[in-house]
Amino acid sequence: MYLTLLNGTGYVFDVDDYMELRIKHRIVGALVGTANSKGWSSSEAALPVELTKCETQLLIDEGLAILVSKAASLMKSPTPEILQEYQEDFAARLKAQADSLKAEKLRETERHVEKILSGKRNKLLKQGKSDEAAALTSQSVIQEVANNFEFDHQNALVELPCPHLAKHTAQLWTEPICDRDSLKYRVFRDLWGRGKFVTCGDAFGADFLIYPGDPMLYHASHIVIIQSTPAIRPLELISKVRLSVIVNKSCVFAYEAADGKTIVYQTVAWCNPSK
Amino acid sequence: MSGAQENTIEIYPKTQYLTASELVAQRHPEVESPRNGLKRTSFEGSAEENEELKNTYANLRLQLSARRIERQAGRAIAIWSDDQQAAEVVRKDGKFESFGYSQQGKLYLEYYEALFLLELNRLQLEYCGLIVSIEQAYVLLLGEEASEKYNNYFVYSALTRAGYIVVRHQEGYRTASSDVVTKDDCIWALLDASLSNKPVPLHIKVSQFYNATFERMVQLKQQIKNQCSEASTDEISINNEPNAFKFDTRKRRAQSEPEEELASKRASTTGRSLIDALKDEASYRKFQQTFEKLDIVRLQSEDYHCDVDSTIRTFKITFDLHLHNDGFRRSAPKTPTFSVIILQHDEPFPTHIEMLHCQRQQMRAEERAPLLVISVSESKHIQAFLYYIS
Repeated sequence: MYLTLLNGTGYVFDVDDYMELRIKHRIVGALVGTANSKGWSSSEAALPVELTKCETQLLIDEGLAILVSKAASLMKSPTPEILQEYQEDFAARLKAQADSLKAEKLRETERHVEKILSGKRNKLLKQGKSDEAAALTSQSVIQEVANNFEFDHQNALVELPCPHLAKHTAQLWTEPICDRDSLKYRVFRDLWGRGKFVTCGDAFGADFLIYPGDPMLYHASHIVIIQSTPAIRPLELISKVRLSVIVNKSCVFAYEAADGKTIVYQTVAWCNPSK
Repeated sequence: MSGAQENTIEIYPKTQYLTASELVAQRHPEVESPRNGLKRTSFEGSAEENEELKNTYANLRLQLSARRIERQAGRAIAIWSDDQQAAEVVRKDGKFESFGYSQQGKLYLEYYEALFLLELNRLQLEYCGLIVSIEQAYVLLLGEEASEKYNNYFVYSALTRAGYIVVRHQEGYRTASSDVVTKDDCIWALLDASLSNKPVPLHIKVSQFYNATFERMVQLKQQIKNQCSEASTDEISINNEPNAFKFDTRKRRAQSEPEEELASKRASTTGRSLIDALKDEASYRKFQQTFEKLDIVRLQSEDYHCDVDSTIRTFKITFDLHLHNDGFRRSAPKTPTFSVIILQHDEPFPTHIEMLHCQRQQMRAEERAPLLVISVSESKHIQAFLYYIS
């Protein structure tokens, strides 16, 4: 799977790729596209998906995706041959629609044939041609439409694809997207490796949120706060834990052990001894 | 850009263009945003739960699979220009009241407007003769480096869909909207240019008064520096005396002072004071006349100590928000309802003094709109804070 380098991180434009990332690899990202839906609803999001820097780096490091730069390829002007090939291909795609559009037109005619029929009859009666009006059948109306159908390129349908559909090239991106040695990335990778959904925690003013299943269906179970030192200040402990208790989650402080290699987690949960 | 150049990969897209019958069938997608029930708190692995998960994913896939299909003649067409970083509209379709800007008789779309209309399936964007895909548009319009353009577009899209008219922030509405450029406008623009390093707007530069005003100001500056009035045409110089502004520093007698000095004390208290005597001096009269010509503008207290502090950050107003029922016109925009500042990821909110500084960038006080400070979080949530400064 290829990720496109944009905004300094990985982007996904293909719906199959995204569903695979989400279902198989528990990577959620954020839908940043504007949905093409009627009513300009502000709640509906669409592809592309922007992955966080941690997510992009994780997918590269786990060998699940390849990050590529497409700027050079998609910004250069095409050679005359490629342009001609594209235009021929485009024209062929329009032309191929003639039959389908005709079939669609007939289907629509059939759907409204009663109305069309009565309209045509009234018109003929007004002109005093009652014989012709009586002879008119729905079959003949459909036949007439079929005979008169003319394919016009202006009516052909054009699709604006989301992923780039022409064959193109890209450059492998080898530079790291985020600092692999940073505590944040190591914590993210470690928690993800334990089989959980890990997302940004900014909704709760934290570093990460842990979900037992897909965030669409499950509430987060833990709020993760990254500490640069093992010592937690009392005010910070109180404010973070109070928040997590109110929203029915556990509070996890993550920090580096003294050896600088292992990550230590300290979980704080509500305790009610009377129960 | 410095990534390894030799690692070229051929990309054969998995997805193909839709066939003719698929295009017809999917032309009017009926996608409802998925309605999921209450969220669960723990994973139990029950059959019911799995079923629910399956449905949720199917809905999401359906929602994200919506295609952008339209008749060939049914969209506006624009051509992206790399040099101008704008898209020139070559065929209009629908209303363009709140989109784009005109330059030399041509209508251009900003990058965020072009991408927005493209994603809404209202625009066919072309580049070098090719119809661009959404993916290519992101590369062309927003670029692969981390950039504020992404947040700008994200905010633009959200606010526009929320019902606001969002336009690039503009300064000096009145001068921009009225066609007549007066001498005063030239003076203000030149002052602005020399004091706050703002470029002189084009419509001022082409004015008939511009060159004359510019030369006049250079002259005046010279005169103020040299403290003399060589030019006889100078309005400030009252007479042609070359040394009129030089002080006579010698000790001297008041002209009205009588000969007998002993009586002078009483005389001066009862009669004219020394100050009054000085008022008859030619140089005094000259200063008085000069000052009468000047407009003395009292600075507001907030105007002090702002520019001295170098630690304050400058915030840029990115967008102006207008309401739809306010009679917005692209050619003559009124004072906006809000001015939008977009904070970049993790950037601290502006302080009080930074706010004032930012508002002061808008020249006329009556055109200052309340500031709407928007922060876009890492998970792409938009938080907006409206600031009223009293």
